[in-house]
Amino acid sequence: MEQVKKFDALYKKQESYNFLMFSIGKYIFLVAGLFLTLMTFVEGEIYMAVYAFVCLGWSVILHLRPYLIVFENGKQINIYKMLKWMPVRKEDIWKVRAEYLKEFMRKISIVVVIEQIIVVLFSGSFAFFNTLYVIGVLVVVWLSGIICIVFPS
Amino acid sequence: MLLSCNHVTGTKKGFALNDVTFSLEAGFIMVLAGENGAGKTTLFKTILDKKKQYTGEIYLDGKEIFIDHEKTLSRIGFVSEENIFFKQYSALENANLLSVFYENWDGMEFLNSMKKMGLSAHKIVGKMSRGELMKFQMAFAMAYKPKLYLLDEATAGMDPVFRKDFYKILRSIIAEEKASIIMTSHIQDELEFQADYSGIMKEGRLVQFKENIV
Repeated sequence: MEQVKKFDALYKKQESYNFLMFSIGKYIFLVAGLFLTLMTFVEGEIYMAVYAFVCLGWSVILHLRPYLIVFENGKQINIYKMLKWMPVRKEDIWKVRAEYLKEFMRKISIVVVIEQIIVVLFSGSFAFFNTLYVIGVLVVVWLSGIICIVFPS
Repeated sequence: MLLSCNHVTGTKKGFALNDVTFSLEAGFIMVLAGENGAGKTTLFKTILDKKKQYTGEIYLDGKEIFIDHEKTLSRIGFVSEENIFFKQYSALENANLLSVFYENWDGMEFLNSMKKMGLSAHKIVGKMSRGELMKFQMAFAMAYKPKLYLLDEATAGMDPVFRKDFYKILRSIIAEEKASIIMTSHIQDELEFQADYSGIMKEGRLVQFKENIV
């Protein structure tokens, strides 16, 4: 797995422009998702939660995508195919990407929990839905990330 | 024996190897001939594939290749049009990126080999001719000193002048590194004079395997 991480670090340096573009997209969807999360509770419109989940799902996909596909002459080739004949297990590549997903989930859960604390403080009441919402975000982010890792194309 | 294939039969649907058996000692070159679709490249891919898709046994240096397949791959040099590199990067950029997967990687050896091949390390892989691509892959493989080289039509596309030098490079590899080389070829000269052993494949079977006595 250390070899995969070294490869990722070198590849990120090589493709710094692509990683930057994906990063910008990730933060746009992340901010949108977190804003919609707040609006869900402030406006009390449950349907906004759906949009929030979609945005947060996209943010994790954009976070992982540059590690999963290679752009070549306008085509997208998945990283597992690129490293097909290299002495590295596909499972090790998966595991490293799963670590990136775990780290993303850790950070996003902190932000969403802080958001919920702010919501509870302002509304003056705590509902089970506040906890459910955090769990919902983590499930959506995790599922989106896993699907992206296993099926990058 | 460096490489032993015992009754290797493919289990993949469609075209597959059929009861291939042969052995190759360290320090020898074997040329594998046969019509297109005879199974030459399939044999190479059967050895390299990360999923075991055959019955029978394949041993590299006394160890079954699937016991630690990643280690097996680090001991095999594969030169083929079907090998995969980053086409948008230069030879050197590819080497720097992919060398992380090879414990024995020697960057200086790669650069020296590229020089021997007469190829610039800064040339973009996607812009290389077929012959240049084979030379680059050979230099890449030589940098991690594999025990077994699998060369798939490596000399097709090479100019005849360089081809002679290429055979000298192959001979020096097997002499210095005690490696073995299996190369597929349609070139008669290679079949008769350059190889120590020759094999002919037909419809997935190894129908002939003999020592070339020159």
